[in-house]
Amino acid sequence: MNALHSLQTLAVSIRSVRKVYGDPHAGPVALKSIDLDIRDNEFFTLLGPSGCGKTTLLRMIAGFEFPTEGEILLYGENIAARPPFQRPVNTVFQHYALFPHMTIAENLAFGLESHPMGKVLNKTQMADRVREMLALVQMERFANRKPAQLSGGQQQRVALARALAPHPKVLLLDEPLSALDLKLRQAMREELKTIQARTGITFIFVTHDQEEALTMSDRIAVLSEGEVQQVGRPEDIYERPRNRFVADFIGETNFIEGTVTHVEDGLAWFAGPAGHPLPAQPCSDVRVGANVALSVRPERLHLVPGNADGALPCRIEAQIYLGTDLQYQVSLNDGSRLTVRTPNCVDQSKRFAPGSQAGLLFDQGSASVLHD
Amino acid sequence: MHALPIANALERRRAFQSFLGVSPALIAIGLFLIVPILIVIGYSLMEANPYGGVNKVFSSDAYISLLFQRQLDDSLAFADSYLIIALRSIGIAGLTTVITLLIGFPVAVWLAMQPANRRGLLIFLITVPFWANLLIRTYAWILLLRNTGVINNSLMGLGVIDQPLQLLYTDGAVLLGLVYTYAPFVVLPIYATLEKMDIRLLEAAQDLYAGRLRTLRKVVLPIAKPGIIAGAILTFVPCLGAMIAPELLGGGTRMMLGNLIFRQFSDARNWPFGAALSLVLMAAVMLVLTFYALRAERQRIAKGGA
Repeated sequence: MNALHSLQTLAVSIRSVRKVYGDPHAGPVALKSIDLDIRDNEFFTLLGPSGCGKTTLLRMIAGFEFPTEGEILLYGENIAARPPFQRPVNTVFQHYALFPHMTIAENLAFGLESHPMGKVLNKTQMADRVREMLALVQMERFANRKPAQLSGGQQQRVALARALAPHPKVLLLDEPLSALDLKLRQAMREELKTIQARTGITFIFVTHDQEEALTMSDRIAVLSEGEVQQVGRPEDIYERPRNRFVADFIGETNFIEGTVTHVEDGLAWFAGPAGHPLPAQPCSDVRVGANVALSVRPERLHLVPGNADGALPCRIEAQIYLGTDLQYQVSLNDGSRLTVRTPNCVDQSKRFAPGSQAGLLFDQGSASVLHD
Repeated sequence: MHALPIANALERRRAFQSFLGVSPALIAIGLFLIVPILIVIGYSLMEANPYGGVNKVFSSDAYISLLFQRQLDDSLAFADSYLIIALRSIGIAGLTTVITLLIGFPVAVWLAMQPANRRGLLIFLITVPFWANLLIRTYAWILLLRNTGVINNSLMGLGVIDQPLQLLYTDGAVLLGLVYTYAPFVVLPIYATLEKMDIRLLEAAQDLYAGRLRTLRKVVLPIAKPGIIAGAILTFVPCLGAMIAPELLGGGTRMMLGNLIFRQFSDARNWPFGAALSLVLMAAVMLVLTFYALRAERQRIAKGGA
């Protein structure tokens, strides 16, 4: 019963999907047995560096590529072998792929006319739907223009409206913001999020930009070399990266080796650099005496002047001005180097000059244990 | 207001310089296009010399004889023989255009879908026939089509037929020769438009529930349209004046405008009439193309540009 219930609320379920190009035994492997569940009405992001297989996975859901092995379930129905025009999913392409010979309104109507429901809709209903979609992305004024007459941001909106017009069950977005400039990209992030909430359609978003992923997603799957590294909410991914790849790919981090000394109140204590005691985030599977790798985010470290009590003595090597923050490179007595980030302050005296000595404090639970 | 005369002088100088810049093109056009046409116009308005060439006497006979025949009593009677040749030429040129488009379009689509590194070789292969002279290539068709040719001999050898089929010296043979000659001229411009087409547009169409046929009709064909039109013009216009295929494969009995004109300068020794025929042909083609260009321009404006 439970299994059936969860099946119905899953929008897309990727089951042991493998993709090999060319010869299935010797060809290059794009995806090594992927399992993923994407829930109904979720903003789900596939995040990873180029070549990690995220676009291949998206194209398989769209139907442009077919898995070598495995199943792709769309609301419980296996669609892995269906051609793209028989799948109730639509794509927003990276470079929009608007039909250059059609007006904006014609571009939007294309999917409606081809769709089985196009035979049911009459001309007025179709025009209404086109207008409604143009209104959703605030492009009503451009209905009779050609794509070439629009700016990149406007084309982006049209591509979104075109893909939403036939009411897809799932909307696929292939790095749709990568061609826009920074300001526009930030505005579009919020707009995409709003539109997703308003339409209630499941969004699957592909990006290599971790900031995009963190700000927009309900959940993120981090991919690398054809494998899922971690799936979770943005906070999970950022605060508790499972492994070295995730910790490194999302944001900046310090890697520290440490030995577990004792476990107390759910916190594992480590002997960090120079034997300094270091509390890690709750973690069930650590044994006392084990040697593990830890990730500590730069903003979880704090500098205090002089030799404060309980602080780890360090030397400021460099100070980098980032605008909102100041970033310090510090070296410890054992020679290891760490990155510390603090909010920028007006008071110059609170900054630390390169070459000076300072104390380093770790936030409670700032270190997370990495599994490889 | 001191600057004004200087600005004017500068502008005039710039205009003069840009005129100097294009002058080589103007000289070439004048020398190779306008002067020859003027000569042809001149010839068409002179009297024929029965031994070839023209007598330098004004005469409009050449134009009159396009549609009329001078009777013994010097009266003019309507004669449709040249009109029939013109209509047959238009018919054969039109049919050739349609057939080459039907063959060329799928080939161009296929070429454009090939991986980029293989396209170069395939395009090269399409241009290979141009390396041999058209006359020789057309003679090769004679060897294939004649009564004792490869096709008839093979069919008789296989026992399919016991009498050779009359393949050569038919309208079909002329059509075949023209289609063979002009097919590459259709493939190349269509390929050029499709090659620039973003392949992702096909994915977008499929993603938006369009099957193959709808994708072809609504996306590929409209995008290939400029290439299709260019290919059609590149086939239809030279076909109208084609000479070699009708002469060799039609045996000169199925006359087309091209060999009619050719005859006036060779056997018939009526240069003014040949000149008049070619001018009328040229004027007709230009009229049609101008009409088409104007219509396309009007459509472009009506659709709001781009």
